[in-house]
Amino acid sequence: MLAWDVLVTVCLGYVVFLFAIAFWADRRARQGRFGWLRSPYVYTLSLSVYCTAWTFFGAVGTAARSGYEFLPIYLGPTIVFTGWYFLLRKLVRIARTQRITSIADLISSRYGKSPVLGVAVTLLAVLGSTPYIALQLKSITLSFSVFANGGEDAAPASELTALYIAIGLAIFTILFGTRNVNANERHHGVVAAIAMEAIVKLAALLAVGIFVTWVLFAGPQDVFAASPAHLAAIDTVVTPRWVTLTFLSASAIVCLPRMFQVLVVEQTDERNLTTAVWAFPLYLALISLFVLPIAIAGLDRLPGEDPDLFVLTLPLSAGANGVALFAFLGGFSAATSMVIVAAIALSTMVSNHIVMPLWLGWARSKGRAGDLRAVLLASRRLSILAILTLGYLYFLVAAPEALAAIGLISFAAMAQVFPALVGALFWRGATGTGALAGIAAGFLIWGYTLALPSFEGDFLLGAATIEHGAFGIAALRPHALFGLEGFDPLTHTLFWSMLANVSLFVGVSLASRPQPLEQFQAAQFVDVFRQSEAAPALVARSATSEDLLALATRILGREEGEELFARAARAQGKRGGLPDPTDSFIEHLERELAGAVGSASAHELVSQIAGRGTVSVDGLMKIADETLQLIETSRRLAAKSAELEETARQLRHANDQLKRIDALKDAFLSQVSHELRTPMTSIRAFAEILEETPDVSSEEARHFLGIIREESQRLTRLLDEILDLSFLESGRVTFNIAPVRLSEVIDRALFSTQGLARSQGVTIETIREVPEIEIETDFDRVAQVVINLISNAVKYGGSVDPRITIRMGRDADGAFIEVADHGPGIPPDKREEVFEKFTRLSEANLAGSAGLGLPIAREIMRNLGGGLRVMPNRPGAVFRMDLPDRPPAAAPAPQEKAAKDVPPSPVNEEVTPAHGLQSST
Amino acid sequence: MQTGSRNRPGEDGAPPASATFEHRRRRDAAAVLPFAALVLFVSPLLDLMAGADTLFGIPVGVLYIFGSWFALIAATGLLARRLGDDQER
Repeated sequence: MLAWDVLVTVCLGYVVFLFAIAFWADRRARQGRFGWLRSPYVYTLSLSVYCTAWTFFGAVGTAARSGYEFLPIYLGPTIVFTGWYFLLRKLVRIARTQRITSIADLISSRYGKSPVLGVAVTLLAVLGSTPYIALQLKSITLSFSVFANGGEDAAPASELTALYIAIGLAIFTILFGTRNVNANERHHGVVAAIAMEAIVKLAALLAVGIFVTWVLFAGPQDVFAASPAHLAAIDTVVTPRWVTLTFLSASAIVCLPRMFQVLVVEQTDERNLTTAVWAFPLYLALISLFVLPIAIAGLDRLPGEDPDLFVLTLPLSAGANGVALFAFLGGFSAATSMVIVAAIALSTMVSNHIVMPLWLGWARSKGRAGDLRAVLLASRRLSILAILTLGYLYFLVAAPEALAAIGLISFAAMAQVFPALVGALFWRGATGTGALAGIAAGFLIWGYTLALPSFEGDFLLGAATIEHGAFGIAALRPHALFGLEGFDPLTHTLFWSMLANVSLFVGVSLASRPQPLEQFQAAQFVDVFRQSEAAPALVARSATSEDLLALATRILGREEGEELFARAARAQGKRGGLPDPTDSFIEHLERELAGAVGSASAHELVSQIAGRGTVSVDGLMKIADETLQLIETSRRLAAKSAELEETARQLRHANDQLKRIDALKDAFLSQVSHELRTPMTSIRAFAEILEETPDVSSEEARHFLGIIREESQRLTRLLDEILDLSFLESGRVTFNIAPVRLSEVIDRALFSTQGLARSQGVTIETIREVPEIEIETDFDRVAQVVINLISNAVKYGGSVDPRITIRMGRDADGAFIEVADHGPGIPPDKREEVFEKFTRLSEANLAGSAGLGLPIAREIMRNLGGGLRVMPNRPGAVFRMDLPDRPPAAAPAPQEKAAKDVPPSPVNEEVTPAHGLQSST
Repeated sequence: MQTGSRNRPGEDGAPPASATFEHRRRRDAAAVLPFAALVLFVSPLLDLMAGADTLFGIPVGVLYIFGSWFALIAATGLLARRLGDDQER
């Protein structure tokens, strides 16, 4: 028999070993040498906190009593893990993007960062898990007592053993579990120790199994041959209880606080999941491999002994002290790792969802804004102490028999969160009100039909109530609610609680209307794989970067806060300084803070600084449901293609313009050469006559020379006009701007044209406005235009009624001068053509005109900020000069126009749309 | 290209056109697995197997449960590796 002091020494040595591993791993991690710490196998092993002392010892007990019934506890998780691609992967991704810190935080965050839901799930978790912690303490003291019973030395009372263990666990958890304020970072020390313990407990159970099967018995056939009758002949395995157990353990693998902690919160790399999904079920299969043989062997060799302790008593009774000690360490590992992780997970939930909101409210009322980081860590440490104290107290108070059922009661409590969790991941329409209603109803039924009756009348519910129902109403019997009998209490509870939970969750969700924040979160969760990393900000809020930095340092500490801001500033493309407090940065900050204090508290804290804000349009688009998003996408596509069509149309138009300009340029060049050629030809002809004819009379010669001079003058005038036009078109002309009276302009024009008018027999009448119109413009240039118009009117006015009317005045369009003749007028389709170069409306080519008069006149008016247009016939042609009160301040930029390699042309102005097009694409 | 993509799509450079199809097929297989597990472990099939019969001295029920279990683990592991590769790309 094993000496008591040996046991204690080995146990203490093991504890020191675990502390050393944790310490070493923590130091490695802080030095940045992660190595195997991030290996998927360490992750898988950390998941084994699922296998507690209850499963380590209790599985054999269950197998001894009811055969296969120990299996659903392992098969449920296996089923969930085979479907990892749809549930776990999504869960892990969401937790990473949303910086989820616990199962309570996940539910709270998804349903609009609701503080109430956070509190509800936290309470449920604490109520469900505290007894479970007590169970672990119980199992350790029980296994100690197994050794003590046989030894001669007096072992200390089990209360004292449990106290020492609770204190030791508290020290370990506080030391390695509250290192960083960021709750969703991995606790490397803890994980390393747990992974070690996982190996020990698996190896221990395998060792006991091999010892039993091949040492105590002669192989598996021998063991199974010894099966007692009640295990050998099992007709129905798949009973309602079997289904219930499978469902419970399937939901437990994600809903239990400690499982959520290791599976989701502490995962470092999503890729680890692809290993864990097969390695963890393998771990479960291996750990249950020898459960049946051990149970059968125990029943065969140690009849009448407690089957829950067969793992220890079988090797002990056979004198295999080493194996027994190993088994003891395995059970010890299973119990301690569960307590440590559960305490971390629960303390995060309690401090983030209960302590923090209370503290914030208190600090706000007192107007304090102290270092939240210290508060957070202190509250986590105190929560750990409080949770372990609660567990210890429960261990002292509860009846020993009641402990056995605790494992499943705890599972059933957390299963109440399962519908809300599944809804959170897959149903956008699930609302916080619905989730709260479902969880509350499930919790009440769980408490009334399972948790309270488990005290067998000692707590709240009397024995009479359990037997006959509340107030003696038979329909309210806790174990036969509404007369539903014939099921074991667990199945009974699960049926009613899930029925109420799911119907209320779905019904209330359908009936209630989610808040914008809730809808936004719903979209972020349900469509997590369709979201880009940088989600648009939901609300437009405003705060100064300094205030935000102050908040971040209060929670994360100076160093980490400043690092976070520096990174954000770099991401915004800044060299240094603080990042701009954009909506998306505020949202990013809120998420980072959520990693420490939980989403609800983070939202509250940021809102205190930045205000609640208004929902942004992008945010609204985000929360719009899928159909709307599709509609929006196709609308955008349609807009895009319409835009493209418009662009193509504009390009076609521009192309047509360019073609026209090109044609015009060619026409212009041929016109110019033609116009230049005519006088040149006659000059050359007469010069040749003079040269080749020897006997030209001096009179003839004078005549010829006169023609040559006239033609040269015409040539010069033509070149002058072309030059003038090109200068005008390129805006390189300078004007003499001065106050000008319009009647003086008309007088000058009349004076200049009186000779021409008289020779053609044209009478000119003027209609002058009183009072005198005076504007700022270039006197000579305006007069030039009027002269040009008068001479055109004389030329084309016809001879039937050779009368020209000049009218000046001011109307809605401003000051104007109109020159009207009484000729045939200009056909409407030719009205723009008259301004084209070398255009003559009739073939009548009068000397002195090169056909450039009107284009020049129009360019002059344009340059002066006005215009020249052909008005509808009245009935003769009417030209109207629009005269602004003063020319535009900025003359058209000469360089730009000059640089253009387009010949002077009236369509110049129309080409500009092509410019606008370039800048819009 | 076709035969290469059957085993390890994308090994020869850019993912072939059938990579999406292959990925979808694996995803569908992954969706079937939990239902297969349900049928194996929570259906009358289990009752059928867990009789009093033994094979090589070991109850058929035990062989059935652990056999199915390890088969599921292998299938999940193989699919997970492939699906993980798909994600890497």
